[in-house]
Amino acid sequence: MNARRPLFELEAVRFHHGDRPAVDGIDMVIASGRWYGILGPNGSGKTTLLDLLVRHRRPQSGTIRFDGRDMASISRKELAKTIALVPQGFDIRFPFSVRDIVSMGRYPYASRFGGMDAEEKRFVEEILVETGLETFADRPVTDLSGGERQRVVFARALAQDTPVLLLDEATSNLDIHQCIHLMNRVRARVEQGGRTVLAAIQDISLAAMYCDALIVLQQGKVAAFGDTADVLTPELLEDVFHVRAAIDRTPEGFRVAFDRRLPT
Amino acid sequence: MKGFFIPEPDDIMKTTERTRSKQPFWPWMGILGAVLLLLILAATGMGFLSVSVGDVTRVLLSAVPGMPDLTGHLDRVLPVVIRDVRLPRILCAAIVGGGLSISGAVFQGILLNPLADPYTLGVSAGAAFGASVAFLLKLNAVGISVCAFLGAMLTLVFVLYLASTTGGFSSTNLILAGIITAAVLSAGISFLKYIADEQVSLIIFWLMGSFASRTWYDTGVTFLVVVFGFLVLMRFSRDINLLVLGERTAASLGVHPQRVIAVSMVAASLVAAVCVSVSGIIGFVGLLVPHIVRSLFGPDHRRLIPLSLLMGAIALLGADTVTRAILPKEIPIGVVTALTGGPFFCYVLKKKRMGASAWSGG
Repeated sequence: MNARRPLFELEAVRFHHGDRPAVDGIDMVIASGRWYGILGPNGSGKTTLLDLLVRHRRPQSGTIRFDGRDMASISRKELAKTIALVPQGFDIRFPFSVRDIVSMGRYPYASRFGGMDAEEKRFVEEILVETGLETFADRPVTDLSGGERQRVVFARALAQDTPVLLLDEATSNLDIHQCIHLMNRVRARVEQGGRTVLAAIQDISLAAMYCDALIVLQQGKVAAFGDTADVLTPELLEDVFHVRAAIDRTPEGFRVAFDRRLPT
Repeated sequence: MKGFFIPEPDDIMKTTERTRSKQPFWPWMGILGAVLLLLILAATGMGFLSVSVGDVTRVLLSAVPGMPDLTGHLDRVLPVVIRDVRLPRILCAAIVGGGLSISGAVFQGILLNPLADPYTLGVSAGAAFGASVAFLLKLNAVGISVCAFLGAMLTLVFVLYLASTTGGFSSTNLILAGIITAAVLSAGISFLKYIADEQVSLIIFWLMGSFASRTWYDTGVTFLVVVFGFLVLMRFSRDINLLVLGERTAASLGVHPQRVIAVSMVAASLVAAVCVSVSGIIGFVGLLVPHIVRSLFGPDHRRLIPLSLLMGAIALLGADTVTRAILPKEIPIGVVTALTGGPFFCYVLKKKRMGASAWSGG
C-alpha cells in the first residue's frame, strides 16, 4: 500500500543569504515512506534546505516539485495539511497552555472562527498521551523547562498529522530517554503509516540509529546522498566533519564510535 | 514620552502571567457589557448637575425617533447638557479606552512583547508632534485632530520603512525603530514648545490628554474607526495566536506571517492614531488592560481582543468620570491614568516576580 514514489524533486535549487550561498545548486529526489537524515557541519545549509522544503523560503533559482506539482502552485492551506515542521527554536512568550499549543496543530483543519469538535479534541488528547505530556497539559508553556517546551513543540507538529514531517534539530535539548521515545514514535509513523521524514540532525549517532537514507551537505552542496549503509563511512566523516570514527553495523542500525584524536 | 522600555520579554512573561484561567468567555462578555452600559448611564447622571439613572434613561429614550417626550418634568437645560455635552464625552472616553486596549493587545501579540503598547512604535510621539505643529500654526480643533492623525500615520510608515528588511519585519527591529523615531520626535516637540511662545501651555495641556468638550463628530469618527479596526483584528486573531510559535512554524500552519503582521499592525496603529488624535496622550491603558485580561482569561487573542475592548472602555470611562465629576478640580486624564496605572503595573510586576522565585525555589 505504501509504494514508494518521488515526493520532492529538486532541480538546480539555489538560495543565497546576501552573497553567501546557503543552498548552492542541489539536485535530488526524495522518495516517500522513508526517513532521511540531513547531516552537515554548522552553516552547511541544513536549515535553509528545510525552509525551502516547507516553502518558508522560495528558491532563487531552480525548481522544487512536490508530488509531481510545482511547489509554488500549492496553496498555503493545502501545504499546511501536507508538511509539518518542528523548528529549531521553541521559545514561546505567551502563557498558552500545553494543550492550547498542541491544539494549534489542528488549526489548518478548522474554519477560522469554528472551534474543535469532539473528535479533534480526542485526537489532541491522544497526541498528549503519546508524547507523555498529558500530566502537564494545563500548565502554561512559559513555566516549562527548555526541554519540556521542545516536547510540546514536537507534539504540536505530530498533531498536525501530515504525510511529511520535517525536523530541524528537533531533539537537541531533550534528555536521552525522551529523545529515543519521540524518535521511536516518528519511526512508527514511517514504518506503519508510510510517512516521510526529513530530519536535520547534528548527532550523527542518532541519525545512524533512525535514518534510512542520508543527505550530507557541505557548504550548500550535496557531499553524499543515498542509503545510510552506503553513505555513512569513516572516510565521509573524516572528509566532511573532520573527525575520526569507527562504524559498526548492528541489527537495529549503525553504531558510531568517535575518536577523540582529530585527524591531522 | 511613555512606553519606551528595553524589552525583556521572556523574563517578564514568565513572571507576570503564569496562571491560565478557565474563566468562561461569553458570560463575562455579558457581565462586562452590562457593567459598561450601567457605567455610561451612571456617568451621564454625574457631574455639576446631578441626574438620576432613571431620568438619564428617559432623556436617552426621548432622543430616539418616534418615542414620546418623557422629559417634561425635568429642567429644560438637562436634556441639552446630557445629549450635547456629557454623552459625546462619555462615549468618546469609552471608545478610546476600548480602542487603545485592543490596539495594545494586538501590538503585544504581534511584537511578541508584553511591554508593547500603542505607543511603542512611535505612534503617540508622531501624533503629539503633529498636534504641536497644529498649535503652532494656530489651527482649530479639527485641524489639530487631523494633524495629530497625519503625524501618527507618517511616523508609522517611517518606522515600518526603517524596520523592514528583505525578509519582512522582525519584532526587535520594529521596537528599535519605534524607540529611535519617538526619541527624535520628542526632541522635536521640545523644540516646538521652546519656539511656541504663548501657545506652549496649549501644547502641554493637549499632551496630557483630555476628553473635555468632545463633540458628536469626534465620537462618531472614533467609533467607526475602532469598530473597523476591531473587525479586522478579530478576523486575524487566530493567526496572531500562531505567531507565538515563530514565523517559520506559523507559515507551516498555513498563515502568511508577514501579511498578518502588516495588516494587524496597520489596523492597530490606525485605531491608536485616531484615539490619540481625539484625546491626546493617554498612557498605560493600552499596556495594562490587555495584561489584566490575559492574566484572567488566558492569552488566546480570539478572547483577549473582545474582552480588552470592553474592559478598556470601562477603565477609561471610569477614570474620566473620576476626574470630571468626582474630583473637585478636573485633572488631565493622561495624568490620572499614568498616576494610577503606573504604580499598579509596578505592583503587578513585583508581586508576580516574587511569586515566581518562590515557585522555582520549591
